[in-house]
Parts: sequence; C-alpha cells; structure tokens
Amino acid sequence: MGGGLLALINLRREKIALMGQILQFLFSGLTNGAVYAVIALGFTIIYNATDVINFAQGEFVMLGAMVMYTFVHFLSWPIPVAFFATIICVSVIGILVEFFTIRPAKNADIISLIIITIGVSIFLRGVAMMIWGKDPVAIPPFTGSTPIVFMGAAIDPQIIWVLVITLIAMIFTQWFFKYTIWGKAMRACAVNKKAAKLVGIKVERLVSLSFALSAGISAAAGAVIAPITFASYDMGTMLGLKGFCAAVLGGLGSGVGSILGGFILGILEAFGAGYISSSYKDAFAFLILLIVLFLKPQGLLGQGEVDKL
Amino acid sequence: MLSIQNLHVSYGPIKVLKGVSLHIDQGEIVALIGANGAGKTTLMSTISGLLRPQSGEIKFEGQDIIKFPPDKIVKLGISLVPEGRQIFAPLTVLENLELGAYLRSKDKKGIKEDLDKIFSIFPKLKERKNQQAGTLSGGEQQMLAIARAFMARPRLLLLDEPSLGLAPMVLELIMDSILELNKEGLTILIVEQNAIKALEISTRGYVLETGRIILQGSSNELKEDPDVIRAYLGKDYEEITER
Amino acid sequence: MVTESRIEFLSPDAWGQWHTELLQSVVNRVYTRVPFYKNLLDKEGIDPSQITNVEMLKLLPFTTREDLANHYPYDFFAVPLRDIVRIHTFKSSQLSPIVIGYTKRDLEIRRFLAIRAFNVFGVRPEDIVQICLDPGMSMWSLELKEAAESLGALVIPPDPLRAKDRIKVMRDFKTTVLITTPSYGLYLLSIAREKGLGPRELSLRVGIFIGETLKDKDRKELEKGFGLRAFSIYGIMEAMGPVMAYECRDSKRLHLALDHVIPEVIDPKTLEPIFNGVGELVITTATTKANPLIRFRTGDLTKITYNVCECGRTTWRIDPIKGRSDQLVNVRGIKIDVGLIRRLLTEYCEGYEPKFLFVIRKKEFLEQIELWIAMDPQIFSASLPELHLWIRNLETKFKDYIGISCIVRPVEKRTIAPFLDRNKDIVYLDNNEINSLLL
Ligand SMILES: Nc1ncnc2c1ncn2[C@@H]1O[C@H](COP(=O)(O)OP(=O)(O)OP(=O)(O)O)[C@@H](O)[C@H]1O
Ligand SMILES: [Mg+2]
Repeated sequence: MGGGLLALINLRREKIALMGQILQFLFSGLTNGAVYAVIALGFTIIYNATDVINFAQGEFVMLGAMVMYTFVHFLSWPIPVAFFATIICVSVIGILVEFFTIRPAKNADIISLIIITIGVSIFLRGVAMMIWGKDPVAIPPFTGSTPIVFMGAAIDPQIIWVLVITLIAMIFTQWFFKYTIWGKAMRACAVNKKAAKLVGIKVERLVSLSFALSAGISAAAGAVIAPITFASYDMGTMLGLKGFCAAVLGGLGSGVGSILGGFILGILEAFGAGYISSSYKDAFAFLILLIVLFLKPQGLLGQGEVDKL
Repeated sequence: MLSIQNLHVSYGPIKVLKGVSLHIDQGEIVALIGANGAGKTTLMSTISGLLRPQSGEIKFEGQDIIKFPPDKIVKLGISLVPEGRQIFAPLTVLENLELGAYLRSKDKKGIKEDLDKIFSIFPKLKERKNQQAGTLSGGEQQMLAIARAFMARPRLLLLDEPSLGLAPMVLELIMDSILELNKEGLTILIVEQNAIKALEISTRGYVLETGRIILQGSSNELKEDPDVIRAYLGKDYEEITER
Repeated sequence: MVTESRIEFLSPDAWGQWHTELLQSVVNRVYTRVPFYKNLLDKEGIDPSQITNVEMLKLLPFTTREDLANHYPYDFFAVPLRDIVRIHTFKSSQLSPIVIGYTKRDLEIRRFLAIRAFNVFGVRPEDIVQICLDPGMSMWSLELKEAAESLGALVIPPDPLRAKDRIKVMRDFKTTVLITTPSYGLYLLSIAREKGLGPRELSLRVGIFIGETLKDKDRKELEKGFGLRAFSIYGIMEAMGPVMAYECRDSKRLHLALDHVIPEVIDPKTLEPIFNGVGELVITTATTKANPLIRFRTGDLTKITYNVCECGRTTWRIDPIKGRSDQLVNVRGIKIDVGLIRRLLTEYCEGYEPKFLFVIRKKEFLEQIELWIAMDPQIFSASLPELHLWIRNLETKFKDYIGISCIVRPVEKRTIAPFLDRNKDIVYLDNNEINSLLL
C-alpha cells in the first residue's frame, strides 16, 4: 500500500516544474525507501538471530498502524503517548509470536520455520481483519497537513515525520548493536551461535529480544506512515515483500546493507513509477532485485556467512 | 572437581562416546588425547552443555550438571575454548573479550582488572584491541579465544586443540601461557592432537579410542607409551599389530 | 610421581571414581586387543559399556591359570610383541606352559610397588639387602633385587651358598635387611643360634618375608632372634609381581596396591562375590599393559578389610593368606600343582597312572617333599638296580619339571591306601609319623 503515498503526490503532478518533479520523486523515494529500510532492518535482525526469514514482518508494520489507530481513535491518547505505547505493544506481540511459534519448533529445519512465519502472517492478518474490519481506516497526521513547499516541491509534513522517525529507528538500532552488551551479544550470536553459547549468552533470550526489537521498529514505521497511506488489515503484505526485497538487495544479514537496499529500492521505484508507468511500480522492486541478484548473488553488502552485520 | 561417569553421547544413530569416565582434580592439568574422530571434541562439547548426552553423569564440585544449559555451566565456572577458535570475527578484539565476561557485564571493575591481566599475559592483544578479531593472525586468534574464555573467570578451563595450525614458536607461547594460568590456580582439561605437547604440560592424561577410554595415567608414563605414540601418529592399532 | 605417593590416601569416593575409570579402560583395552577376552565377552554377550562401576565386575568371566596355559602362546597379549621387553614362563598343569610378557612400563610398575613398600619398611639407600630365596623363586629374587638396587641399596642376591655361609656373610657384611621366606628365615635363625649369633652380633633391622604366611609365633621368634622388624609382603608372579600387598607399620593386614589392581573375594565353589568374609582372592590388573588379566583367580584364601588403616592409608587390606582354594601346595614359597605331578608320573610311566601320595614333611625348619609311589607290577621291575635307576630318573625329572627336589620312595599299597581312601593325595607329616608309617 505504499502506492497510496504516490497517489497523493501524483495529484499535484502537473503543477510542478521539472526540478520540482525530480525532487518530488526523490522525496517520495526517500520516504518509501526509509520505510522499506526499517522493515528490511527488521528482517535482518531476526535473520541474524535465528537464520529465519520472518514473513510476518509486514504484519508487524500493519499492527503498528492498527494499534496506533486504536490508541488515537478509540482511546484518544495524545499522539506521542500513543506512538510509544504502540511500539511497546507490538514488541510484546513480537515476543509472543516468537515464544509460541518459533521456540517450540526450535529443532525444526529452517524451511519449516519460514513456513511457520508465513502461517503467523496469515493468522495475524486474519485476527486484524476480525478486530478492525476490512475497510481502511485513517489516522490523523502527527502535525497537521499543510504541505511544506521546498524548492518547488510540496511536501507533506508527515513525510518529514516518516523520515525523522525511521532515521531515529535506524540510528537507535545501530547504536544498540554497537554499544550495548546486548547488541554485541546479538552480533556475536549472529556470527557464531555456538561460541555465543560458550560465553554464557542465553541465545533464546536474545532471540526474544530480536523479535521485540524487530517488531518494535517495524511498528514505529507502521505508525508513522499510517496517516499518509491509511491503515488496513492487509497493508503489511506488500510492505513486507518490499522490505524483504530491500534486505536481500542489501545482502541478507547486513544491517547497513538493508538500509541501503531500502533506500535504493524506494528511489528507483519512485522514478520508475514516475517516468515509466505507475502500474508497474510494484514489479520494479522485484525486477531490481532480480538484476542485482544476478550480478551479485550475495547482495550489495553481503559478505557470506562470516561477516554478517 | 569434575567427575564424569559412563557418558554416552550419540549424533542420531551414531554412537560417539560409549561410556566414558574420567575426573579432574583441583589444580591439575589433564590431557585428553586420541586419534581423529575419537570423540574428544564431543566430550568437551558435552561437558560445556552444547550437547545432551544419552546417559551418564557429569558432576562439577559435587553438583550434577548434566542437564544444565551452556550459560549455567559457564556461570558455575567451566569455560570451553572450542576447537577452531570460534572467535567473533567481525567484532573487535575488545568486544570479543567483553563478551567473554558477558555473564558479569555489570562488574565493570572486575572486567577492567581481568582485561589488564589478560593484556599482560597477551600483550599482542592489547596492541590490537580495536582491530576486527577476524584480521588477527591464527596464533593471535587462539590467544584471543583463550583470553575470551578466561574473561568468564572460570575455575575449570577446557581447551580443545589450542595448537591447531600454529607455528612451533606460537605454540610454545600458547603452552607457556596455559601453564601460567594454571599456576594462578586454574584447573585445565586440554585436548590435543599434538599429544606430546599436551603431555609435557599436563600432570595426568587419558587416551580416548573410538569413544572409549583405553588408557590413563601420569603424563610422564603416557608420553612413552607405545599406544600413545601410535595414537599420536594417528595409526590404527590394527595396522601396527600385524605380527 | 606425585599422584602415586598420595594415591594410597584417596577418599573412598575418589577410589570409586578411580576404580571405575581403571576398570573401564582395562576392559576396553582387552576387548579391543586381547583375542581371548574379545571372544569370551562376545560369547557371553557382554558389551564393555555395561561395566558402569566396580560392582559390575561380576558380569565378567574369570581367568584361571588353566586359561592362561590353554591359550598359549599369544592369545592373552594386549600389545604387539615388539612392545614387550621381558617374558616369564611358568609351569602349568596343562599341556603348555604359562607365558607372561611385560612391557617396560609393566616392569616399572612392579618395581615401583616394591619400592613403595620398601620405603614404608624404612629401607634406605644405606641399607645392605640380602636376599635368601630358593632357586625356584628366582623371579621373585630378580624383581626384588632390581627394586632394592634402584632404591640405591647394596644388594646381595641369592647365591648357591650353604646356609652357614649365608649367615657368615650376613654377619661380616653387616646385612641390615633380610628378604626371605618365613620358613627359611627360621632355618637361618636356628643356624645363627647354633653359631651363637644374635641381635648383638648381627646388624639386621628389617626382615621382609614372602612366599608364605608369616605366623604370629614365627614373627615374634624372628623379630626377637634376629633383632629386626618383620614385615610380610604378598604377591603373585603371574600378575603384579612380588609386592601386590604389603604390611604397613600399623597393621598386620596387608595393604593392596589398589591403584593397580581391583581385588575381589569370591566363594570358590559358587563363584559368587563375598563382601565380608573369607574366600578366594580374585584380582583384575588394571594398569598392566602386556597381559592385563580380568578377574584372575589367585587361589589364595583371604578376606578383604575396607576401612581406613591407622596409618591413614585408605587402600583395602587383606588378611594373611589362610590357605589355598585349589590343588596348589605352597612349599617353601613355591607353588606346586598336584595335577602337574600326576601328569609327570603318567608321562613317566608311559600312560599308566600309579597310585601315589605327595608327602610334605617338616624337617628342621624347611619343608621337604617326598613322593610315595605304591609298588605296582605295572611299573616296577623285579631287579633292584633297575628300580634304583627308575627312582633316580624320576627324581631328576621331578626337579626339572617342578623346580624343587623331591625324594621318591616306593611304598606298599597299603601304606598310602588310608589316605587315598579319604581322597587325600597331599599330606603334611612330621618325622615321627613318617617313621611309624614306613616301618
Ligand atoms: N554433528 C555431528 N553429526 C554427526 N556426526 C558427528 C558430528 N560431530 C562429530 N561427529 C562424529 O563423531 C565422531 C567424533 O567426533 P569428534 O569431533 O568428537 O572427534 P575428535 O576426537 O574431536 O576428532 P578430531 O581430532 O578430528 O578433532 C566422528 O566420527 C565424527 O564424524
Ligand atoms: Mg576435535
């Protein structure tokens, strides 16, 4: 449903100059890209901790949007409170998902685990549909909707929020991995699970933590884009796939790679849709992925098994 | 300190350890030697809780630890330096060492002291502390692996083939540092392909042959034992007994 | 060898662990290397991993002297011949002799055990050790000599001297340690007394008595007469050598080398283990490399005491040997197999087995043996010189075969019949009894 974002921008397309047009595409690409990047990061975190590609990742984004909607709309909580509560809520859901689905099947092979995550995604989508219904719901923008005009391009203020919050999520994640003992432990776990166990790391706990972290940042992304795209029970599917493409593009397992992959995907997609045809927009992501994988099978920054992250 | 009785370990249908019993007393260096595939690494992994045995008993200071997960075993004071080093290559040397002290990461002061101690034993590691561990030389990586295990403040250190792929000079260095750690009160179980080296620094030894202990004794006597020499040469008993 | 001097003081728990380890490694070793045991265990369907602790010994089969002889020459070897540095051969009642090999390490262990005991007895490098043993016990002499030598003592090994000269040497060279059998010790003592030599003239300090049980009465006599402190040691040559057990300073029971053998006591009839009582001593040699033996039946009757000795050693102790559970007779420390005598006779008489009685007679302090053979037309010809030659030849053969000299005496059938009727073919008789019988 990243398409909604573009639709909004396309409305004013005729009115702007070429320079503005390019900027417009760039902004739209950056915005989408940032969202993809955060989702890709979510994939990467879980992949590094468990070797599993979590196909329920998109659902965490959707839950972020839906929970945010609930807090703002039904409980009328102020936006900042609702935002943080959403992150905590979805993180807990992430932990529960891990606890009830991945952990019991600990000894199953990776393919089975991946299939389990697909099951989880279908389940979460179903539950969301039952709770919130099939119709898209709207969330008010964080700080009004008067566009900001910047070098001939009109920019929705929510887009600034998207950029800022995803950026914070990325920086927070990188900081976490670089400077906290938990983060270091998670990196250690990603490199060598056996050795991690041998220094006394409880790998299971870190897996929980990785699900919490991954769900949390995805939820933040979901909550912040919801005012632009509307929120619906099935918004996670396409976002999840794009995020997955971005993660693979960047080299599965590399944090910086996923971020880069997300932005590249978002920008190319925006320009592709703008200059070629918006109806092929979603196909672009996969086309780009195929081309990159063909040329550099380990992804842009992937370095094989040893140097993940 | 550590006593093992009748340990049976399998990988699926393949029985690897078939009733192994051994013990290590406080302050000893005990060598475990045997040909490739005898089950030495399997035994070490089982002690550290990485593998679950089919049956048997492992007691550490009187406590049955057979069902304990690895972190609990580290906490009790047993650390393994695994075969092939298994350092965290993309992390820095310092990060590797910090992770060694993972279970007591709040004890900043103690960690600092231990780091100083480690750096005095392995000055090379101090020079390279902000370098990615993967860029260290083989010998330095082995030092790092030992140092990382030491950071957990173990009372029993398990060393799995610390000499693998090291030049003789570096090997000497590693062996010296092992002896030094032992002098400071660390009890050590060492597995070595290089049987003679292991027996030189140890007090007692066990010889493992296809999952069974077939000989034990003081290191001095084992060093001269024809069976050990054969195991060291990696030849099978059959090949040599042809009369 | 730090561990080896401390080991006799291990805690009972620690012994449990040691023994489990020792037992398992020796069983694993014989299972993979010794054809005899491999076949036996396979036949009985025993896997080495079933031996989870010392109690499980009872699953394993016994080894007898007959097994050793019947599997001559190689079936008992656990190492290739080139690892072997010495081979001893022993007579057996079977067709083949018993052959026991030793690796360098095996000999070292045997020597170490002797030295450990010598240290407890207070034997020091300054000591002069005189060994007075029968040529039939030459292996014992050899190993004890080596041990005393490596301790740094001056050793006077057995020589073909007469007892009188031995005493002379003992006096003039100021022997401080005497190694002999109790009976020969008493004999030497009687000669010393004849010559008026006592503790004042002799320098003896320590007496080490082997081969026979040292009776309390004899111990007192020897200690008083020679002015020495008597210690007895126990061993069997087929396994572990002359000092498998020794008396410490605080106990009259003998400390077993528990770091090298795993002992048991069994009922010789039912073969069931006996934990608190007299029975046959059975040993498993756990550290032996060349010919490790599993549950070897020593034939000696004794009892094991498990508690801690006053000296602090936790090694189990055996009572002085109370007798034999088989047909072996101990004469002056030499074990004689009556089955072997029977075979000798049958061979000598070309397949015919004459009626005979094996007589051990007490004469002075040394036992002498005689073979009384019932006169029988099948074997004895009429002519006296021929009979004489027949007897001489048999005596020579006996000496050669059994390793100890023996007087062969043709007797009337009725003389020995009362003994044979009671199913006895070995009797102990004193001079009076013999005289009255032969009259
Ligand atoms: N994960 C596994 N799955 C199946 N079999 C295994 C596994 N790991 C080890 N083995 C087998 O178990 C046996 C013992 O392996 P182990 O690594 O313990 O031997 P080792 O004595 O350490 O040998 P080396 O000296 O080569 O390190 C070998 O036959 C090996 O093939
Ligand atoms: Mg190994």
